[in-house]
Amino acid sequence: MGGLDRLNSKLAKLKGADAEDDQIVTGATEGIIAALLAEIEETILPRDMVLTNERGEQALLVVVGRRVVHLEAPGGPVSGVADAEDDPAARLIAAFTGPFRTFLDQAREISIDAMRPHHRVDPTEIGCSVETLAAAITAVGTDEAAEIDPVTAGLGHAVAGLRLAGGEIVARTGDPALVTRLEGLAGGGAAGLGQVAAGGASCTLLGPAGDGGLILVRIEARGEAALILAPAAARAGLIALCRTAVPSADRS
Amino acid sequence: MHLPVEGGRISTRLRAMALSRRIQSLRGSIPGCRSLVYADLSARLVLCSDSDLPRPPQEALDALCLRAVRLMTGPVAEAARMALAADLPPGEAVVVQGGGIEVFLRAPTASDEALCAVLDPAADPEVALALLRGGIDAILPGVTEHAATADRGQ
Repeated sequence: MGGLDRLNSKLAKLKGADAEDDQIVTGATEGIIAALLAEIEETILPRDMVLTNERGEQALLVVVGRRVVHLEAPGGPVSGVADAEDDPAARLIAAFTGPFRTFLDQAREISIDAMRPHHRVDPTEIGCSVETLAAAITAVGTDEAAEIDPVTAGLGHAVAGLRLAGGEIVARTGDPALVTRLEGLAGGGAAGLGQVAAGGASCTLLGPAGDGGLILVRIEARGEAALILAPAAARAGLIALCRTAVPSADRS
Repeated sequence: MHLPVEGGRISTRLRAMALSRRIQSLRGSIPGCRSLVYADLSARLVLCSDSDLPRPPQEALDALCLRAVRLMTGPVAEAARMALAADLPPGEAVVVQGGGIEVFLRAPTASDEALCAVLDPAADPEVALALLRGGIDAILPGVTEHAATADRGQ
């Protein structure tokens, strides 16, 4: 982390000085991500990388051995612990390109601090290597975005989510109480929700009127589906994901 | 001003014309909005619509209305209400599919009525929803008020 001052200076240039009032500078995000990837590339010992925006909101990357093993951004933490149900690298990529990127997009100022992790890094957290992460981020920015799995990426926005294949739950993520609610829905109402769309890839979002609370989202693509509870603030991101990640050939 | 209203038939026609103009105006204010439908969810009926096509196929408008009914009433809406732990069924819905986007907004003062919009693939549904939220009060209270007046007069 010897280059922390250099990185902070770069972040200030990318965000603080160039941002007009009430303007979200999304273009600067690419530069910040490039700087972060360079920092991850140089990080061998375990480190908490804490990014703080102008409102004091924080996102956390836990990095060790040039790998991201844990990520926390608005929308909840994503762990790199390996399990039988899901690919930890895919989870971390979805969180990085979803809520974490949104956090960077919406920030007008960003600073970074690095410190030893408060907790010992679990050796089973295989996480995601910087090379894999960089490749996935590059893919999102090119035509290969169509190949990104919208179900996985959508689950990255979830406070709670289920992954469904053939109508069966194959993975669960997020707040256990909310997951239980979704399990109740998966048995009945979710089928009806899926029938609203005419088949093929689709994204359906339901919620209360206005911008508060939670929304219920069903994303279907390539024979799989995600049933998601997400903050209403994530709606724009989920819609953008569905518009860009669902290949037109899969639409009907 | 006194309108030349003679009986329920003429007043109903004037009501429909006024509603039609309000729907037309609202659709025109929404960037990329191809069609805007005002639907009665309980009757599964398109009450008024405006479109960029001279005569949009009635089947397409009916199908849009039916999707609103499926999303915002019945088992799907009840399951969604429970999943969201809400007191009321969903008030808004967005469907992204097939290169098109549809947005639905339940009338806050008349839960059986809703606006349904079909948007261009490039349109921003967040902007459309915000404009529908802002515009629905200007459209529907007048309808309800006029309808009540007409009902009392008949």
